[in-house]
Amino acid sequence: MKKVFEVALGILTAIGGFVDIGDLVFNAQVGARFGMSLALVTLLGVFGICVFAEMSGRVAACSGRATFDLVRERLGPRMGLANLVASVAVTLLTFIAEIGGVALAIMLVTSISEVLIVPFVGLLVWAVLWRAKFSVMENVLGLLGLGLVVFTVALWQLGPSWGDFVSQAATFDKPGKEDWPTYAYFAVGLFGAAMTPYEVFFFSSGGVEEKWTSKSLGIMRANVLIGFPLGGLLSLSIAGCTAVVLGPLQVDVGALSQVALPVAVAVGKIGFAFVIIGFVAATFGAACETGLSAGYSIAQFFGWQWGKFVKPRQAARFHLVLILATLLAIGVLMTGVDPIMVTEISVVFSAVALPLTYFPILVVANDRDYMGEHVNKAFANVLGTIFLVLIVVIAVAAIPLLVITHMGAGM
Amino acid sequence: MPPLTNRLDAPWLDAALHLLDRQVVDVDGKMVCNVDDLELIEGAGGEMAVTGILVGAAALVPRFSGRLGNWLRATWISLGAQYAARDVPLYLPLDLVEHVGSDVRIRVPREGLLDRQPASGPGTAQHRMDDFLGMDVVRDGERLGHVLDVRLQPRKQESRMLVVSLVVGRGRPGSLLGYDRGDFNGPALVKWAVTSLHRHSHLVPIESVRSVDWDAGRVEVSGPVEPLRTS
Repeated sequence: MKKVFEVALGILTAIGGFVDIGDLVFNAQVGARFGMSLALVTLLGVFGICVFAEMSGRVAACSGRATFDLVRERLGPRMGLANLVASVAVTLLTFIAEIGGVALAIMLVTSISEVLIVPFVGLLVWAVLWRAKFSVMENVLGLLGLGLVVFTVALWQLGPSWGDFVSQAATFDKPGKEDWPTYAYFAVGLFGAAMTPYEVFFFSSGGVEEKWTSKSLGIMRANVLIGFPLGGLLSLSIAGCTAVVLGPLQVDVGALSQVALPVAVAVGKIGFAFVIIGFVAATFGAACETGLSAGYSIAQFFGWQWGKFVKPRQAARFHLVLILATLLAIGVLMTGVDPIMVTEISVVFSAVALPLTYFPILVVANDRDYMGEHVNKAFANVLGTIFLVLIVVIAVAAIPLLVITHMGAGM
Repeated sequence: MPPLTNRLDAPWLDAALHLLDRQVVDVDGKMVCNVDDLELIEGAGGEMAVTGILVGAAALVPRFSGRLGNWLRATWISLGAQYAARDVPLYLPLDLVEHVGSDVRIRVPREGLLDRQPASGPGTAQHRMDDFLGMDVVRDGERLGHVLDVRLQPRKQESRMLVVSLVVGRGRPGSLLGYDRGDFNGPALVKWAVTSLHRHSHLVPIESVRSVDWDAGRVEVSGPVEPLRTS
C-alpha cells in the first residue's frame, strides 16, 4: 500500500492538468463534437508533460530548486516577472474556477445554490492548505480523484465500436459539421491543458516538499509515468463516453451534469455516486494544486521561504499569499460568475507562460552545478527541444484561434 | 568534474550567471532571500570587487530597467515617502557566504540577519552590479558590445571577490546561459542559437579597462582582448 501512495503526487498533479473543472467540461465537449478525432493530441500532451515533468522533478530532486527558482535564475527579473504575472494569472483563474467547481459538484447532489456553498468550500480549501500535511493531502485527494476511473468503466460498459474509435483517432480528419479553425482551437486547448505550467510548479515543489534527493529519481519517474498517462486515460474516457452518448444527440456540453450523464446511463446509481466523489475530489485536488502553485511561484520568484515542510509561521509570506488567494476566489465567485467560463479565459495567459516556463527547465537540466551526474541525456534533450518548438507554435497560435473561433463556438 | 562543486573553490565565477537571482539559504536550510543585486566597490586605485549581496525591493526594482522600471521605482518610493533611505537596499556581507552552487549558502541563521547597506569606506565608490552589466564597451573608438557578465576571482580574500575580466558581446546579460563555461553542453538547437548570437563575444581582462563612466554607462578599453569560446 505504501508503494501506491508514493505515486500520489504524480496522480494529484495530473488530475489538476487533465480533469480539473475546466477540462472535465472541455473533454466532454470534445467528445460530443469531435468524437475521438482529437485523441492523438491528448496522447501528445501526455508525452510532452512527461518529458518536462521528469526534467523538473529531476532538477528538484538533485538540487532542491523548484521550477520558479530556475525561471528567475535563467531569464532574469524582467522576463521572470513577465512569466510570473502570466503564470499566476493562469493559476489563480484556475484556482477560482476549481473552488467554484467543487461547489458545482456538490450542487449536483444537494441542489443548494453554488453561491451559498462557495464560502464553505473556500474555507475548507484554505484549512487544508494551512493545516494538512502535504502527504495526507496528496494521498487522500489523489486516491478519491481516482473515482473518475468510473468513466473508463462506463465507456467499456457502453461498448462503443472500438474500431471506429481507433480509425477516428488515427486519421487526420474532423467531423463534417466543424470547421478547421475550431478543430485547431480544441486541439490547442487540449494540448495546453495537458501542459499547463502549474503542473510543473506543483510537481517540482512537491518533490521538494517530499524531500526528494538524487536517490529518489526512481520514485520521481514512477510518479511521472503513472500519474500523467492516468490523467490522459481519464481525459480520453470522458471524451469517449460523451462521444457515444451525447455525440449522436448533437448536444453542446456546457454543464457538469451533462458530463456525468453518460456514466449514469451506463453504470447507474452506483456509477453516479463514484462520479460525484470523483468530481469533488478532482476539483478539490486541483484547487489545492493551483492554490499552492500560486504561492510557490510568487515565493520562489522573490526568494521567500515557502512550503508545507516548514511550520506556517516560518513561511509566513507564503501562507499570506494563500489566504489572499482564497479570499479573492471567494469574492470573485460570490458575484455568480460561471467557473467554467473562467478557465477558458486562462488559456490566453497560458500562451505567454508556457515557453517561458519550459525553456529554463530544459537549460538547467543540462547544468552540472544543479544536476551533478544526472544531467540530461541526448534523448531527453532531443525530446525537450521538439516539445519546446511545439509549445512556441501553440503559444503563438492560441490567442488568434481563441478570437477567430469565438472560444470554440465556430466561425 | 565532480558533481555539485562549490563555485567558490573554482578559479573563477561569473556574477550574472552564478550569483545574481540565486536563492540564498541559511545554515539551517531556511530560505533567506534572493540575490537581487551585488555591491560593487571601486577602490582608489581603480580596482573593482564584489563585496556584498543586495536584497529587497530597493535592489530588485531598479533592475526592471526602462519605462516599467522607472515607474515601479517611483511608485515604490512614493509608497513610503516618509521613510529615509527608501532607495538603500538590505545587505548581506560576502564573508557570510560559504557555498555557491545551485543556491548561495550562508554560515549563520537567518533571524535578524538583513540590515541596510552601509556607506562605503573613504576613497572608494559604491556601485551596483546591475548598473555595470549592459554598459557599452568601446575599444579605441570601436564598439565591442555590452558587458554581458563580470568574471570574478573568489576566495582570495573572504570578504571580496576581485573583478578579473568582463564578458563583452551582443545581446543581453544572461543570454550566454552558461555555454561559455566549458562544462555545459545543452541541447543542440539552443547551443546553436547562443553560439551564433555570441560569435563576436570577447573576454576583456580588467587590465585592459581604461575607464568606466558610470553616468554615461560606458567602458573604455584598450589593449588585448581575447575571443570568447562557447563550448
